[in-house]
Amino acid sequence: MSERDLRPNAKVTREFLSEAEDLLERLRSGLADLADSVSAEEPPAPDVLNGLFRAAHSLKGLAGMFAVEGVGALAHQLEEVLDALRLGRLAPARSSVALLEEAVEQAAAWLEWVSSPQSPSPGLESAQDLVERVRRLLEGPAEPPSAAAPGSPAEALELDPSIRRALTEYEEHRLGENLRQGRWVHLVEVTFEILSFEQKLSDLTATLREAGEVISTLPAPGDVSEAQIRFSLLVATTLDPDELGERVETHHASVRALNRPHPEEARSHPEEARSTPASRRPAPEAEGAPEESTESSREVESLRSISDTVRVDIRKLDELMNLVGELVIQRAAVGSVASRLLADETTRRFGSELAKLHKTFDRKLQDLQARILDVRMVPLRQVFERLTRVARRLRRELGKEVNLEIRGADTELDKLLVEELVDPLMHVVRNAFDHAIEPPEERVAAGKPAAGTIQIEAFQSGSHVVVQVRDDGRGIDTEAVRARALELGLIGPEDTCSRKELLELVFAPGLSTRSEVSATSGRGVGMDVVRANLVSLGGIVDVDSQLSRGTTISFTLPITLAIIQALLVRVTTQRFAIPLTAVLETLPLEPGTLQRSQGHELLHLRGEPLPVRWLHDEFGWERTPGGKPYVVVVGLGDARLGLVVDRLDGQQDAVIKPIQGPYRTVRGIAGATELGDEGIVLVLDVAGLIEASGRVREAA
Amino acid sequence: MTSNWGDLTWLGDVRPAEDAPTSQEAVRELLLLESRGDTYAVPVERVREIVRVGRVTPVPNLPAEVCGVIALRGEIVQVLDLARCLGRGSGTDAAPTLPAPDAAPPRSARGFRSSRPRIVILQADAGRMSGLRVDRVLDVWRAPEAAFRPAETATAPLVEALVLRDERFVSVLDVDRILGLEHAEYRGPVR
Repeated sequence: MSERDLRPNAKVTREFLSEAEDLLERLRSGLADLADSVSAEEPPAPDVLNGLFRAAHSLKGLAGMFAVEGVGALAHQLEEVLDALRLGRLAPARSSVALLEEAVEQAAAWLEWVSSPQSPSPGLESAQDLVERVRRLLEGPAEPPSAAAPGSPAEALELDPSIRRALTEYEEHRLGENLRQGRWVHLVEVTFEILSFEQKLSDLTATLREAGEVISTLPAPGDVSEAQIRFSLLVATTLDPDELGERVETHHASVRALNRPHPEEARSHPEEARSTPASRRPAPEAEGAPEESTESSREVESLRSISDTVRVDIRKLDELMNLVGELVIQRAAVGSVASRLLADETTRRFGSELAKLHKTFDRKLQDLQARILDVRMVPLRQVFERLTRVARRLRRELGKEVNLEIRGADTELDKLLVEELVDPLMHVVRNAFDHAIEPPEERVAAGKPAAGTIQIEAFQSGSHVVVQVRDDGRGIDTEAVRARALELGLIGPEDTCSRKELLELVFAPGLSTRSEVSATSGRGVGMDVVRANLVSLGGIVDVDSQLSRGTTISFTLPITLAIIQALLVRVTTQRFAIPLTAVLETLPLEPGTLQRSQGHELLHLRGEPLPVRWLHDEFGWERTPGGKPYVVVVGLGDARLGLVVDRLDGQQDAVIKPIQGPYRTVRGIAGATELGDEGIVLVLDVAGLIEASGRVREAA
Repeated sequence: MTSNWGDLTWLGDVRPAEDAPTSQEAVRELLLLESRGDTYAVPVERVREIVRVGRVTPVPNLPAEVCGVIALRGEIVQVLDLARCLGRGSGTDAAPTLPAPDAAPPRSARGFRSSRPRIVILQADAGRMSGLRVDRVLDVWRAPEAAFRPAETATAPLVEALVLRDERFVSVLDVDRILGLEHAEYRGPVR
């Protein structure tokens, strides 16, 4: 089998990739849960194992359908192992979970390779080796936990043979497991109207899950009319038939006990029925321990709610957005025709009619724009959940006590931006874990609680979203930063730098590499990369830190990339657009008001110095002689900058598009837009300009 | 739709002429271009379309070989000037070396041939594209594999191969090189 054979052909669609990514995400999340239960030496929740098995199974099917054999082979082995785990043929161990996680990452690498052919091909040898290692898990010493129960566990129950025959191997296993743990097994019978059974069944299932484990749901024969359907549910619980009957009373379901467990044993842990979905072994030694709330509260989704959502490729939304953008341009043209007609005595009547239509059209268009933007928005919850998982893993790996607090997970952001935010956030959280939070002894000695805290908070601020990562670790030692910056020649020995300026230096390339500064400053790798990523999205990163108190990193991002209100400006003869969200004010540049400070220009703005840059200089053009230039004051996060332009040309809606071609980034330019008769207007990269101006000042 | 729409004309499929070698020998289809009086070629499979030179918007902070950006059906595309890429000065003041505007096209008028400057839209990686401004588009030629000679990449890094045609060598351009995967990180002139 050559690599070429494994490479998928054109049949691999984007849908495949996005669905596969979802499945990988579910696998990752499930494995993290599994790893947690292994660490806690608890039996894994059947829901988790089931979810994992189903995800692996779907991934296998998907890979098969699209002939992505590398992923298919891995998914197949994953499925086999997960099946053995869920049937209790295999006991989960830390090492096997780690191996499964490795397999999932390998599958992710294959998908990466499928989606972008430039990425390095995942080694075929190592993949096959991995498949083999996963397969070998199955040969390990089997530890059938149900071996204690002789014969089929179901035989001990007063169960109708037709139901018994319908049970799958997994369901039999779960039945045996629950009986072994001394639980009640009840048969819950219920009749629904065909028309509404989906919702009602899922409601009942949800109620039953709160009380225990639903082992099997079977349609039951019975004396019902054609418009009705009857179900039998096998439920294992610590509740006796009367207690369960009370809970399902509103669902009009009947409860019949199939066994009679030793009453003392089953009743000794009544709290279990409330707190967890019945999967846990009644573990007397766990009694006094505080109940850790499960971070992934499993919602029982009804079939109906799934069918209400549509998965849409974000590119389709981009296309819609482009069309709306073009309509916006047309709208402006219609408006100008209307005003021309109005100006002429003979056509005034048509003019005013057209103007009215134009106004209505305008309102609807704005509506449409807002709705499409809304579709692109997703809550940050997904990203935060991923961070939580990484945090859990780091907690295990580093053995540090760190509480992760999350706020504002419902804050919404453009889907594309959310994706791009993952890596920088991950990076910062990892750094905080790795370097900022001190070992417990050190923390206690410093008078802090032994467990560190990392807070991640998101909130909306105007047309931007701010995501902050705050830790209560050792903070950044600005003196160590100064020493290091001197060493690197980033600052001179005579330079006086404010605390803020020194903190900003953390983002300078080479300064914050792990080996050099981590011991003293607590910050780790590649903050320069984090900043570059954010700036490329039109965002900005701020840092604030107090020595031994902690560090706060703030990301400020525009809510969406797609459509913007732009201020049009002219520099020499060319027009440029500045995103209005970044514009704080505009003012005429009065002659003689510009001051110089160490070769850089400043403006006195209400008692504060405002650094000023001429766009002419930025672009290597001659400053226009004479004329009455304007200053456009732009700001992002805490930073302010005045941009000198020759003229202000009003406001327009603009769809920002990337510039295609060999040069992927152009300094000072974020993209381009097409504006009516103007042709292409370049959109200024405000974040980049502010960034560059800060760097110039730092270097000065 | 877009304001530049009228400036751009899709000039038809670039298809090989029928008079190509009829034998079974291996051929590669090349689009022949002219820049500063010399003939160059790009592989046809890398050519997405050929458009007239309309309004090109200059972009600051890019090296001189980029003449600017054009709008192509809603997408914004950078245009490189072939002459400047090859270190031969600007293509815009190339009038003296151009034949008279109405000089007869080489053969029967096929849509894509031109006696005027054109922008050849080249396919880059991952569905992305770039424009290449040339003085004129000559023809499509089915070049026999046997006519290909390796080029001196040390002295002419943008030329992939040389192909003998009518006693003269045609330089086959290295499209990936021109589309500059290696200078993708350019961040403006050093100041």
